[in-house]
Amino acid sequence: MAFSATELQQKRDALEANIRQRAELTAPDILQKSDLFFDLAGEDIGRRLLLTTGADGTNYCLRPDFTLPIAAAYIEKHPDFEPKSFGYLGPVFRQRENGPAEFDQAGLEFLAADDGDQAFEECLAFAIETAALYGEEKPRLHLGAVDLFEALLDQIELPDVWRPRVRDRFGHDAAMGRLLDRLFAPEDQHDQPELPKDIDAAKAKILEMMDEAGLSQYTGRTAEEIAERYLEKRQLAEAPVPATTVRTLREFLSITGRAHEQVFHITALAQKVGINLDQQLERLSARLTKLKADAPHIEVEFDAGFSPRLDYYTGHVFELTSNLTGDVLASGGQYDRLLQRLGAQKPVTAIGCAVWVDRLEQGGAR
Amino acid sequence: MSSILLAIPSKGRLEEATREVFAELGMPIERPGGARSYLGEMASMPDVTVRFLSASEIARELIAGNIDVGVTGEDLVHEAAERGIEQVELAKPLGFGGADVVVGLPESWVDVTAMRDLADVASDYRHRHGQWLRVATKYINLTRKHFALHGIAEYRIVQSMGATEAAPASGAAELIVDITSSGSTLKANQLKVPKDGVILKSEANLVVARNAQWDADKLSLLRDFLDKMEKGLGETITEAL
Repeated sequence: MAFSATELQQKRDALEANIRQRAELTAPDILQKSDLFFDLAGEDIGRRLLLTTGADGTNYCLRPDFTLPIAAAYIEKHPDFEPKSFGYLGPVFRQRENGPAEFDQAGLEFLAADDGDQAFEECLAFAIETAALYGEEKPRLHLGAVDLFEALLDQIELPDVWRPRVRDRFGHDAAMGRLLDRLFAPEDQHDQPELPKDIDAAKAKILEMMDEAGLSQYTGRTAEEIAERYLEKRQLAEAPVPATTVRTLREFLSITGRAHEQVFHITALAQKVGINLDQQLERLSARLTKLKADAPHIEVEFDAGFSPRLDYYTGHVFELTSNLTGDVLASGGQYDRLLQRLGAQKPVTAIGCAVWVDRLEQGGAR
Repeated sequence: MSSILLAIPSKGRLEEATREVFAELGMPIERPGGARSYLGEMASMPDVTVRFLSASEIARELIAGNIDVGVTGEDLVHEAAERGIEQVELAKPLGFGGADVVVGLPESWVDVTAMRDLADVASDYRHRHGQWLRVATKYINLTRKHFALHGIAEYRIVQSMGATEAAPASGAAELIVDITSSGSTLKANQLKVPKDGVILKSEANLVVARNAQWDADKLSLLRDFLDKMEKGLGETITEAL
């Protein structure tokens, strides 16, 4: 049964009141400079932007989300990083498969929060209450933990150059799968160019090639980084990463299911391979216990491989999905590196969530 | 009396080759006003109105459905709109205008022989330099599609409308995506193509617009026109529309 116009308005009012209770309602400009989004998220997000160019050549886009404009404005106005809570409700614009789309989102941003865990709980509570407001009484909660993966990756036996590469693929199953394949069974080296095995000699040869092509030694990839990676590839071919490392990563990433059980699986895996994840596991357990107390009716699933593919996420992440349609109704998490990417000198606690208001409103129509 | 609108490239090698192909098929195209006129005639099929346009404009107008049939490169159809290729029917490759859209990287990148290497490099580059790896190209849609296919997210496109091959040397970008027919421009600029770096093998095509107004009269005209080019083609294409 579809919601009537009056019902929709009542729900909107209730939603706005809920936001105002928790945070300062803010409305960043719809027209944003597109560099902000490209700089932070690259071409993968860039392709989703609705772009336009000013008479002076500056590129603009219609805001594709609220988080970035809110965080950028916060940095400008609050150089001392005092704790601030923002809320929003309004349209965002994105290119979709079927063309450009406009849809409403509501959400919260807790920037420089004193208590990150409390902010996270507030986000979850807000998402669950908003879903219930539109009749989604028993949504499913899909939980991930970026900190857990990062702690595992820090400690596992792996040449250091691979750690950031593996991290960058977290949240993209196919790309991660291919990278792990490659670590496990390095490619054939016969079609690789022959270069001296000594780093300085290899570097000299590369410099010569760069020179010939008129490439600067000071911008772009340097001869040193090319030589290092060339030799690293050869070394990998001769001495692949230990099979146990790849197996452990695969096993970890495939852990998914009812949340409490997964904590046991991860604990067992960590013990088996001698990696200390105690602190992160404790945080996860505490979160699950709190969830059970606060929202006993919500089914919680933990997925060790679940994360947005954005490298500023640092802690727990979540998606709330409809029990009726399977649609994602809300998503959020902790991204302590966001403000750092925007200019802060060090990580700053930041937690937020976004609710897909249009999906909830249409939910009544199905 | 209805007619169909055929657009063909207005200048250079593409115009010549297009007119040669139609002449060989016994459907010569005249340009009565000379090279400065944009109207043409096909005496063998008076119901076909011929117009001379730039190849990229033809791609754009085919997608919009403002012209019915056109001769243009597949690469240009991809570039005119992200899902432009779904708005048209590639009726017949014409055997000229062949060119590959490829990834071109400095030969000095001895550690990169495949796209998977580029995935590592893109990731490393961001961590080392605090900047995105930059790809100079005018083929934005094809680049994004190919890089996404290989799971590469850590890069930015720098739009380049000409002399793209010079971008690495000028410092405008670290690598390029560009079109090449013989590979000689790439070679002259000490650029190489990784082994899975060919994004599209393109050539000039006879392209039919899905979004044009196809009523029964026009469809029957289209069928005759295509059958004249190749027996049976009319049936295949009108069914696919």
